[in-house]
Amino acid sequence: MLGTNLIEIKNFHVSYGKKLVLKNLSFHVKAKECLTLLGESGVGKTTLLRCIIGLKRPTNGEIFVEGENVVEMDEEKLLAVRKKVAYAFQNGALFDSMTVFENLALPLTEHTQLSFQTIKKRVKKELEEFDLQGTEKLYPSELSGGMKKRVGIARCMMLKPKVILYDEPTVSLDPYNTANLVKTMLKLKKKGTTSILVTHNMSVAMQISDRIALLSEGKIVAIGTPETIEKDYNVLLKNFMKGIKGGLSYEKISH
Amino acid sequence: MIFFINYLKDGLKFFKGFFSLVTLIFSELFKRPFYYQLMIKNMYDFGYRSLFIVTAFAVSTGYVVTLHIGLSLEKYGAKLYVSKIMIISLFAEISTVLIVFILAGKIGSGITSEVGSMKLTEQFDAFKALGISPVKRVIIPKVLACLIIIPILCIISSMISLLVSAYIGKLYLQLDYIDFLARALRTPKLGFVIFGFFKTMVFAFFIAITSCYYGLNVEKGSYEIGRATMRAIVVSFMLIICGDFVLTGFYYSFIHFGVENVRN
Repeated sequence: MLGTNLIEIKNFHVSYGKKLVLKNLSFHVKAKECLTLLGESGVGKTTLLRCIIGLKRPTNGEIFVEGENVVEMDEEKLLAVRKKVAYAFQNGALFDSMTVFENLALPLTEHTQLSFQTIKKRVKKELEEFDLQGTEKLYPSELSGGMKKRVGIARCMMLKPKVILYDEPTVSLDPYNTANLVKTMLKLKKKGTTSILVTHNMSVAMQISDRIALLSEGKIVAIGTPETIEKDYNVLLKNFMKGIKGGLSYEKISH
Repeated sequence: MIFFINYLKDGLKFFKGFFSLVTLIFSELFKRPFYYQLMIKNMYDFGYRSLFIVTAFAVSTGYVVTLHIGLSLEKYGAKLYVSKIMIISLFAEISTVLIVFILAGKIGSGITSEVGSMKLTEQFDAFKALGISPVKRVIIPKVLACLIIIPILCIISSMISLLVSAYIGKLYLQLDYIDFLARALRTPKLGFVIFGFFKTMVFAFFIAITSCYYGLNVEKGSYEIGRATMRAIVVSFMLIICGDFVLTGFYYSFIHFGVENVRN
């Protein structure tokens, strides 16, 4: 059962120099929902995620997280938002001078008063959850791509955020690791974590999402449940999968 | 002409960024949490790992400068003044400017490449995403470590150079070891020593901020890290040269302790 709007984006514009990348986007994500953003590379999906946690400022528009406008917040106020909304970076963005244990323990040592023993237990539990037992003492350079991503997501979960933003979590992973990661993401979804997923992987999107938004040329061209999207926008999806440039836009196809 | 204008543009951009970074550091410096442990770790990295090169430089300059000055003064029967000249030159330039050049290369390049690669691999954004200020956690400990460890390394270098100089004085100029050191230590007035120490702190500040600035501005790829490192070192050298020029001029124009020292 989905709840009230947790994230709301209104009249959202982002431009890089003179180039307008995202144009007048408006959508919302309900509590416990998983919304997938699907679109070509460079369409602004990652930019949108970065704006939600204030790593980038939009050119125009508003982003509400639990009713508070992130765009108007200074760095200090954003800290509170970032404890609620976690961001799983595309390449994990693990701190390479720290071990896996230190990477996972960091959010807790920074934001809680928990004892070292409690933190140790929490890290161990989280590593087990993500099938990463025995990696505590390893450095990120000693991990495989899939493990790095899982450690990255595990680190995001340490503060038990309400929302998790996945930035292409399955990119460059083999089918086995992709399946593992999807399992983990579904587990988190079952626990009630709200998420926004950016991906190019249709099968992952279909498995996880409650709704899918198709982005093309800076605009949302379609939004709906996976079934609706598959049924009503089949042509667009097929073109996208075939790798036709601008395949997610009816205007482009008609030319 | 275009070449000159580009240089000017780069210079203005650098100073704007330099002062923005300084402002950012001061705005976060006194806010909790304080990362003492990271500062000490950086001090160890910068200090302990620079000891070998500092010692090598100090031994070499102590030996070379004493021989040059001592053998020249001996012709005029003034070899007793070797110790005085030696200590003045150590505090005025050798152990406050030349050694800082070496440390700018050693420590500054390390900071730029570390910060630059962290920036490229989104580790700065990851800190922010976890609600941690990267300026407080990464930049401030490095700047403070530089401000503490570089003057200490300069003092260590001065002491080693002085001891080597006394030894060379005894070996080549037949000067009494204890008398050499006593004359040397009596020569500089407190103000002159403080000035030397202050100078190294200013230079350490230049090195730390410049290195962090160039590291933070790495954006395009790993090839840029090398270029940023080179720029950081060159700009640090330029700032040290200009800083030395201005500070020494200011000291001899307004403070006068040094003038008395030299005349004595």
